[in-house]
Amino acid sequence: MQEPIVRTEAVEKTYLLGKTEVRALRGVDLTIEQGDFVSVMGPSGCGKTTLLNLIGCIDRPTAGRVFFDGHDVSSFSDDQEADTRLSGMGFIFQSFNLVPVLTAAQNIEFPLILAKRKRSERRKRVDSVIEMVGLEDVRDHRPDELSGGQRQRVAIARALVNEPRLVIADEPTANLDSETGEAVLSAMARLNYEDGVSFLFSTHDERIVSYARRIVRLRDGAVVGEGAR
Amino acid sequence: MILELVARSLVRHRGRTLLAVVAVALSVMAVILVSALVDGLEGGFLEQLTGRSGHVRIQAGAEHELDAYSLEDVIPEYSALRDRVAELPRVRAAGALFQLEALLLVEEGRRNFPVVATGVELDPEGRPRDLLAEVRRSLTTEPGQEPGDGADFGEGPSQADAPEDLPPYGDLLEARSPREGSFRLRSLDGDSPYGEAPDRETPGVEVAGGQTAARSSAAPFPPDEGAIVISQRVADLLEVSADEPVVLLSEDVTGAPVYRSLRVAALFQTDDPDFDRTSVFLAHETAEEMAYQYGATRQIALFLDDRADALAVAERIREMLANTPGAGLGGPAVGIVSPERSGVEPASGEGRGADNSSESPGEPGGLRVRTWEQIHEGFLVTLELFDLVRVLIVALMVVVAGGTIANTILMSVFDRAQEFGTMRAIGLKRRAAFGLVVAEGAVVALAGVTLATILTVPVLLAVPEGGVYVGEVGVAFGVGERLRPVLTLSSWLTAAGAGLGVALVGAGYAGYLLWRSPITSLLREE
Ligand SMILES: Nc1ncnc2c1ncn2[C@@H]1O[C@H](COP(=O)(O)OP(=O)(O)OP(=O)(O)O)[C@@H](O)[C@H]1O
Ligand SMILES: [Mg+2]
Repeated sequence: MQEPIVRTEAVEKTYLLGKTEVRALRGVDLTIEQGDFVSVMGPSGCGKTTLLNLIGCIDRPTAGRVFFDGHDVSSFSDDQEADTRLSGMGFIFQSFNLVPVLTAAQNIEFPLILAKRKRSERRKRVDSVIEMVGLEDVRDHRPDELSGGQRQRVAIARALVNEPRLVIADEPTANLDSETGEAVLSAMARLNYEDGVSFLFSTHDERIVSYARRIVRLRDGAVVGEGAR
Repeated sequence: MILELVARSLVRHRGRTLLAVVAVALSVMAVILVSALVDGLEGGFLEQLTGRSGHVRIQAGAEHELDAYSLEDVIPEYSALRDRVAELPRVRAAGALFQLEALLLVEEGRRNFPVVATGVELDPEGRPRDLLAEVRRSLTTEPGQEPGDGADFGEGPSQADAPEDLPPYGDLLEARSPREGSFRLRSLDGDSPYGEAPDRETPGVEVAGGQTAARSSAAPFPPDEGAIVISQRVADLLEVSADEPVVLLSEDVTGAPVYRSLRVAALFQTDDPDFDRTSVFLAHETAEEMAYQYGATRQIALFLDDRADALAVAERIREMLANTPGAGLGGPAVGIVSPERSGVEPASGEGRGADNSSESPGEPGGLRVRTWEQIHEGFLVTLELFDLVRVLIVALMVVVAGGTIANTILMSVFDRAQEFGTMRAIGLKRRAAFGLVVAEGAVVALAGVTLATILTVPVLLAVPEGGVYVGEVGVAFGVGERLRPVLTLSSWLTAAGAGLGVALVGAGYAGYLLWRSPITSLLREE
């Protein structure tokens, strides 16, 4: 059987808020297979963002281990983490988080520059993902000249441009109206179906869950339910 | 695109960028201006000091400071020595200075003023360019006239204007001479009780065209035999003006009072009131005559092409004096030098030289050779104080501007925390994020330095050679009536370096804080 793209083992995360400890995650075991489309669901404050950050190598667990593509990421150096995020993962944020001074195309190109790809290769990749998300008309617009849905599609294109094994999206539709949100999700679902990109996204919007192939329910930092839809 | 990103970020936050650029520019300008002023003051002081003393000075009396008023310490037969040192390499000119303590009298002594009268000699080849240049630059024949408006020196009345009836100075002299015993009042306006002064050649001046002409009565400085140059301030105090007669009263080498009626050839005004009040200038011959030390001088002042060579030249002169006993000069004249001995009968070199070396083992020839640094030791300490002030101001600038700049950059970076957090999440390495911030700081710093240079350097270069008149304000601060800021490459480099350093340190600090921040906390900032 194929190695799962992500595996967490008894992952705990405790934040220190002054003197009080906030146990955001209390031992989460989770496996994501390649090509999966997983939605993490739960009420506000249940630890969704925390879990996604740990899996995305943006944060480190207090206890337990996170494996990405079979490697224990807790043993990674700072630079290895950055390289893993750059080449193995794509990120989509709730508030889009585009670089405001760069155009849509430049935002999408940015990870390719970090990955030190050649200019001709960069142009080809950017053109192809822009076509994939249907942003040909606005490629030279700045983020503040784009609608929310367009911005999130730029973010999706940016997350996909380095051909990651896993795309992590924390509430990608929270800032979008439901129609646009569904359009964005269906774009993600199509990419998952056509290109086999694994997706891990969080939401507390039950309607959007219908796109997920598998749902992980979190409550108070623990998995309370898991299963295919 | 990274550079484009930096540029666009700076443009997008242009208000803040401008603030940082202006902060850098202001600090750089302040450092440039302070440095230019301090350099100007230092240079002006050094020029003034060496203009009065020369870069290297040869004087009689090795063991003690030149006592300006002990006329026994003189360099007899100085002209041979002066000619020899004038020909040394790196020496531009050499000229003799003969100081006398004197009293300046007008209206039969009803108004009088103590001064140091300096007999000034022209270099035989021409004018020692820097010798008392500040005096020469400011000469005028009209009291109250601004210096340098082209006073007409064409025709000066000659001795004809000297008062015919000599005033009764006896009482005054009696009161003044503390010495035991009697003295003979010697008037150089009438017959000398010692007889006639020896004949001597009148040194020539080089005039335009290169010929050497006999000095005419038109030359205002150094004044002719029989003339005197006094300052505007002294002229005002004594209520005399150009072309009017004054009487100079002094003592000769025997301690006898001597006076001479002199015509005021011109007035000068430097921006040093103390100097103006105490200095008057005569022809060197007049001073010799009054001191009764014919052919002798008190000091030979040397001007070099570069004052940095002073030590080497002084060493060279000492060697010269040691290797050639006598070196064309006698030992210090001791006691009364009779007119027959002095001038008429040149001193025999060997004997004198031997005498001198026994008197003063430290310096050959009984003469003391000093560089401007040794002469003005006390003043140089003051200059070091200036340097300290400069360092303090630069330090203050760096702290104040550095704080502003660091703050501005810090704010601009953490305003974009989410942007940096996103880039980090996408895969930007820590040091690359640091590099982005420092690159922004470098651009700000370069812009600031450029702006400061554009705003400051042309202004400083446009300052006229005479400086900017600041009047009493400058005097109150002890820097003279005129400021002459001098822009040097090193002060520009210092300022630019300080500006760049401050901006880079500020940016480095912001970059360091960014470096330390976890991605999650950056992403959480809104
Ligand atoms: N940096 C932090 N310091 C302290 N406590 C934190 C920190 N980040 C998260 N928490 C706490 O950890 C718990 C889980 O937070 P998390 O952001 O993962 O929840 P979430 O499920 O993403 O909520 P939401 O749906 O509102 O985004 C919450 O109680 C939160 O207050
Ligand atoms: Mg969340």
